[in-house]
Amino acid sequence: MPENRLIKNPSVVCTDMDDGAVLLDLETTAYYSLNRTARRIWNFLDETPTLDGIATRLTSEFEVDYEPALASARRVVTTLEHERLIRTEPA
Amino acid sequence: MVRPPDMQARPSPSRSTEAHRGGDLPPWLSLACAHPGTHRSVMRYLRYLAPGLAHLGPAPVRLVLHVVAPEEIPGIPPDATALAPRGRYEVARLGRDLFYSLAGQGCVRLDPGEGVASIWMAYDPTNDPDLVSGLVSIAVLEVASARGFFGLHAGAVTRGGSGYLLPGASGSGKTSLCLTLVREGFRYLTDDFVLLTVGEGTVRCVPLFRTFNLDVAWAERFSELSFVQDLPSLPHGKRMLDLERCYPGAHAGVARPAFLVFPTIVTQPDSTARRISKREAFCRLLPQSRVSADARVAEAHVRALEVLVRDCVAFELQHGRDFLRAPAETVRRVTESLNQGESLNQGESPNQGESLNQGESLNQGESLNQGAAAPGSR
Repeated sequence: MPENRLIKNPSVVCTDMDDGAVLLDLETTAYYSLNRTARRIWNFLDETPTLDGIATRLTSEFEVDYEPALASARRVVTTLEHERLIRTEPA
Repeated sequence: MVRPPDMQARPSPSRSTEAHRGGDLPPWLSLACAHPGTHRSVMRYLRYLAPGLAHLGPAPVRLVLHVVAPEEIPGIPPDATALAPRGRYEVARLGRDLFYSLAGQGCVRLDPGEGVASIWMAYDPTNDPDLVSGLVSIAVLEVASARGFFGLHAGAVTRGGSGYLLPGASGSGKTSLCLTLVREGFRYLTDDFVLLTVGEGTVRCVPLFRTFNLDVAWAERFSELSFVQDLPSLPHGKRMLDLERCYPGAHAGVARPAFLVFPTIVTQPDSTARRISKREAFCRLLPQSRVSADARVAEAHVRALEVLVRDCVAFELQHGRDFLRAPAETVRRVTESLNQGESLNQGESPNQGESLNQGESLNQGESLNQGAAAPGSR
C-alpha cells in the first residue's frame, strides 16, 4: 500500500553542521536545531520521502533494527510536521 | 603588557563636548526631508553610520522622509503579502517593495534592490528618540543586505590579523569587553554592530559605526577616560566616544573573523570560557542577525553565517566578578585560552558521537530577533 509522501516546506533553509543541522523557516523566522540523527532524516527526505523509506535507510546507517528505526523516524517526522517544516501528501 | 608607543593611552587634550565627529556621507546617498528638525536628526544618524554606509555604493541610495500627522501615515496595502513580524513592526511584501509598519507611528516602504526607501513618521515632540533611527536603520540595513552586507549585533576587535567577533544583545558586556581588549593592545572596529560580507569564500566584517557607547562607571576605572563623564549624556545615560581619540591608531576598518566569542555577564566569582560546537554557535548568531524580510536575501545572509561559523572557533564567555575586579588580567587569561583553543575552567564538551534515539532530536530556538532597537541606539 503506497505511503504518504513527506514534502519539505520550501521556505525552510537547512544549514548542515558537523554535529547536526539548523533549520530556519524564512516565513516564520523560527529556527530549529537538529542533532545528527534528525539531520540524516531531514536529508533522507529528498530521496526517500516516506516513513518506510527513511526507516530502511536508518537501519543500514545506524546498524539498528527496523522497528526502532521506524519509531525514531516517526518521532522526528511528527515533530517536523507539527512545526510545519514538512507536510504530508497522500500517495 | 607593554604596548607600542602609538597605542599608549593618553589623557584627552581637552574636555570638548564634541565627543565624536560623524563621518562624511558618500555622494551616492541622498536624503530628502522637508522638515528641518527631522532632516538634521536623520543626517546626524546617517553620519554616525558613515563607516558602514561607505561600503554600500556606488549604486545610489535614496531616502525620502515624510513627517506627517499620525492619521496620514500609510498602512500596509491590503493586497500585500504579510510576512513574519519583526519585533514591533508588521512586515509585508508587494512586488519588489517591502513594507515595515509601526501603527500610528511610522512606516517604511522600500525597494532594496533599487536602493530607494520612503519613510513616513508622525510628528510628535514626545516621540521615542529611537523611532527616527529605528525607521532609518530598517531602510539602511535592508539595502545593505540586498548589496551583500549582512547586519549582526556584535562587537569586533582584531589582533595579529585575527578578528574576534563578540555577538550578543544589549547588556551582554560587549562594550566593556571590547574596551578592555583595546586597552590590551587590540584594535577595534565597533562595540555593537558589524556588517558581514562574503568574498573569495571567506567572511570579512566592517563596522556599521565606530563610536562606543560607554557606561560612565566602567569608563571611570581608566584614568585616560576620566573625562567621559563630562561628555553629553545619551538618553540611556551612556556617553558616546570614538576611542581613536584616546587610543590613536586603534581603529581598524575591516577584520577577518577567526574567533566567535559569545559574552554573558554572570555573578560567579570567576570568568569561564567554554568552547562550543559550530551548531550552537550558529544558533546563537541567528537571534543577533538582522535578516532581511526578502527570502532570497535572507538565504544569502544565512549562507554568510554558515561560512563564518565554518571559519571560526567559537566560545561562550561568561565574565564573572573577577572581570569587575581585574578586567585586564581576566581578559589576558581568557584570550590566552582562546588562542590555545582550550576551554578555561572546563565546562561541557560539545555533544559528540550521538547514536539513534539519543537526546533531543529537534530543539526549537527563538525566532530571529528582528526590529529590535536600531543599531547604536542602545
